[in-house]
Amino acid sequence: MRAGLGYFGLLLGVMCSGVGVVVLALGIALRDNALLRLGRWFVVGLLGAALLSVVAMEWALLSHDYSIRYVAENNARATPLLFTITGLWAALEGSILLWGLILAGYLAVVVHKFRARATDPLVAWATLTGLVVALFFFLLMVFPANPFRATSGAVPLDGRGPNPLLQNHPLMAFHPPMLYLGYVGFTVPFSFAVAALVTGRFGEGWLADTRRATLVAWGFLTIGIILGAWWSYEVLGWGGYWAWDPVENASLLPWLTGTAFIHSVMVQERRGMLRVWNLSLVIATFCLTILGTFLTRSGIVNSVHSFTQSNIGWWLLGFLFFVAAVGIGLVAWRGDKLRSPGRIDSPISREAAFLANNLVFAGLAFVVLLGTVFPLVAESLNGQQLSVGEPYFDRMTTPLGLALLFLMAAAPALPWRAASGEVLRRRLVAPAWAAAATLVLAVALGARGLGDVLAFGLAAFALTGVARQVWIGVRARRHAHGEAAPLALVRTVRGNPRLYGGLIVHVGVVLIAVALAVSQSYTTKREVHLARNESATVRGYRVTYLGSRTVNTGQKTTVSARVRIHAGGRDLGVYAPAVSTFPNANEGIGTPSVRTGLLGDVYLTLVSSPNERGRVTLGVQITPMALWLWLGGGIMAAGTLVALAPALRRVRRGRRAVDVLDAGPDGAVEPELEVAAR
Amino acid sequence: MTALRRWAPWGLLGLLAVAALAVAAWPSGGHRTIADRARSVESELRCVDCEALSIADSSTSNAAAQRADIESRLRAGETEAQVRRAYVDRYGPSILLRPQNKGLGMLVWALPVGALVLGAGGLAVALRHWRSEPRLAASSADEQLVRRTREAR
Repeated sequence: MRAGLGYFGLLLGVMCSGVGVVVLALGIALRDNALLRLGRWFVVGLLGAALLSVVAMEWALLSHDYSIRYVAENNARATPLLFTITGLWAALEGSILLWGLILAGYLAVVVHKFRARATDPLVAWATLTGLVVALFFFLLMVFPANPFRATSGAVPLDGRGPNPLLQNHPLMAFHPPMLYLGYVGFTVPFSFAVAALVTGRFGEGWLADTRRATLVAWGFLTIGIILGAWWSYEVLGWGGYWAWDPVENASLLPWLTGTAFIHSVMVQERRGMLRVWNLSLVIATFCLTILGTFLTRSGIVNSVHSFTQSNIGWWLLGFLFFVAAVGIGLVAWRGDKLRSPGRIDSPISREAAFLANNLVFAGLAFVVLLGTVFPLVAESLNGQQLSVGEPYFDRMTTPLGLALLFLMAAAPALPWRAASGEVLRRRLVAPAWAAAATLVLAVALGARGLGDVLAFGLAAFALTGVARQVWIGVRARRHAHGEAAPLALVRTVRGNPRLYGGLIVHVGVVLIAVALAVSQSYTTKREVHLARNESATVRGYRVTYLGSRTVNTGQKTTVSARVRIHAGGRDLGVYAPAVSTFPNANEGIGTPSVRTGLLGDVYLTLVSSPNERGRVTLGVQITPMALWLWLGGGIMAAGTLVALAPALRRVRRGRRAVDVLDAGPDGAVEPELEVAAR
Repeated sequence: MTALRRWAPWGLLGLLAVAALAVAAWPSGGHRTIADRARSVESELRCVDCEALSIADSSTSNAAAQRADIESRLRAGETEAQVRRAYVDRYGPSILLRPQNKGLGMLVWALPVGALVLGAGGLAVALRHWRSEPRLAASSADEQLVRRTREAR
């Protein structure tokens, strides 16, 4: 019943997307507006079909319908409600189903937003492209990754339950959907990029049409990555948050190219340049989301996340090549017409800084991609087994990250076109002194290591720059309107949400950069052996082992140690690191217990359960500033929200509105002496 | 004189920054303990039961045994390079998380550096090209107009 309903939904999804593609293609070919208007109803049908399948799957999970293989493998009667619901994305087939639902949702928003322009060839082609992507994913579910496949043999009385790591922390409810909202969201700018290439309208129109969708996708991807790091820290128990695991890299890759795109788009909006580059970045970002899915879901690289293996890999690889071939083919076909007439006047200008930013982001993406696939390539080339891990990525990405930090600090102060020495001096004097003072202070306080100290100095540079820009905007507003400071601040931000939203995101990035440097370099890790009521002190924190307890539920057997933490005589409470054994897994799964603090975390793990003499081994790790990683992520999300807000008022209409939105760093529109040749 | 007054603070600022960075980058020289040295070896070797984690980070029983082994080797007087070599001999080169800079492994280091140099070079050439191009070039019609006006005078 549930399986039938769900499978029917999948077939309906294939039909809606397939017929929708044909109808739109006919409408475009015959210039038939009625067909083009009809097209969007297939997207509505697709959303209904996807919803039907997802509801059927959730119903099957909640009612423990073990006649469906996916439910039998990813749910058990003892699985708590939350992890029964999240069972939808606990393994490959269900994840693709969630992917399909999110894709249908994005496409529905697109056709709704552009309903008045349904007969515009750009919108028609974009809808068609989106439906082709949807067709692929629904075909994937009908054939190799059918989530509703029946259990072979007798229906079991109880299921296996989700992978232990996936039923251990509530973050599991948020991290994968956020990540997918990010991944899938890039389908929208990709569809419009393809439409722009096909229709020959590769001006700034498609960029304006997809600006919000791109930001939404980027924001979700950012949150998804940060939550993934947090999950790794809270659940996996190794004390870190980023292991350069292939799956983590797969989520970082589209983020890197997407971030490059968000920046380089401003050069095209402002100066009409970089058309080919922007189209290539969008296509690359979409390809990297598919590549990420391929790497993580085909089982080609073994990692924590490759829980499932199936022949889905060939399908994804085929689709990846198809998308890449179409993208490269279209760019090559339109190549001569894509040449944009703009020019860059000075290497010290905003647009030149954006070019440098893109070079570094592209370099980072290249390093991460190469490091991730290199072991596979090396092995297939000459059977050589190689590993590429954290030491490699750290060595290669640290200088690039510092370069980005520098650009992020300096570039917002640069004017468009060219900077005079006087303007630069005026804008940079405060940030530069703040940076120098921070450098000296950091060294005086004992900080060593070029990378760390540079990161601190550049962070001060960037933060002072942001503060200066906000202050100047607010001051101008107070002079002009006589408003109180808080009101002037709100109105300043709302008057140019793109600029100030971007600056807020930068503040989040700075916090994360500093937290990365500090937590990497100043973490202390110890193992202590304690009998009951014995204490040990690690870097000023006194941990006392109080005793242990074993709890048996149907879901798992958990041994937890009770540990009291004191800091300087202050009682920080009792924490309980644990090790759980699940019926479907051989090895125990450690659950760390983390005392989170503004300055630092105390990260406790139970290394070994009480021995015959009642002694336990505890892992005690002091990680400074870990909290700031997650706070920085929150600030990045908040900045993205601000950037999505509509400007309070548009001063001028039409093409000039772009210039107003992109006002100079002082909040004022710089005089445009000439209209850029386009 | 005014130029000197204008630039002197920036010179001082640059000097301060360079001095601070030089102190920060100066090799500390102080002798490293066995634990420090063990940690640096452990973080470069892959935990055999894991995909991406190092022996230093992994909590498996194998990794714990290897940590003990590495520390006892260092105590017995082996150098860090000797310990690494012993592990490569036993487990193969894939135990190294930082690929060796030879053979195929060299590519993973050289390719990104090459790509960045090419990209930066391309960008520099493009910028030069843009700057050397006159912003507005006179067309032949413009030049004719100028000639005719001159001749008419």
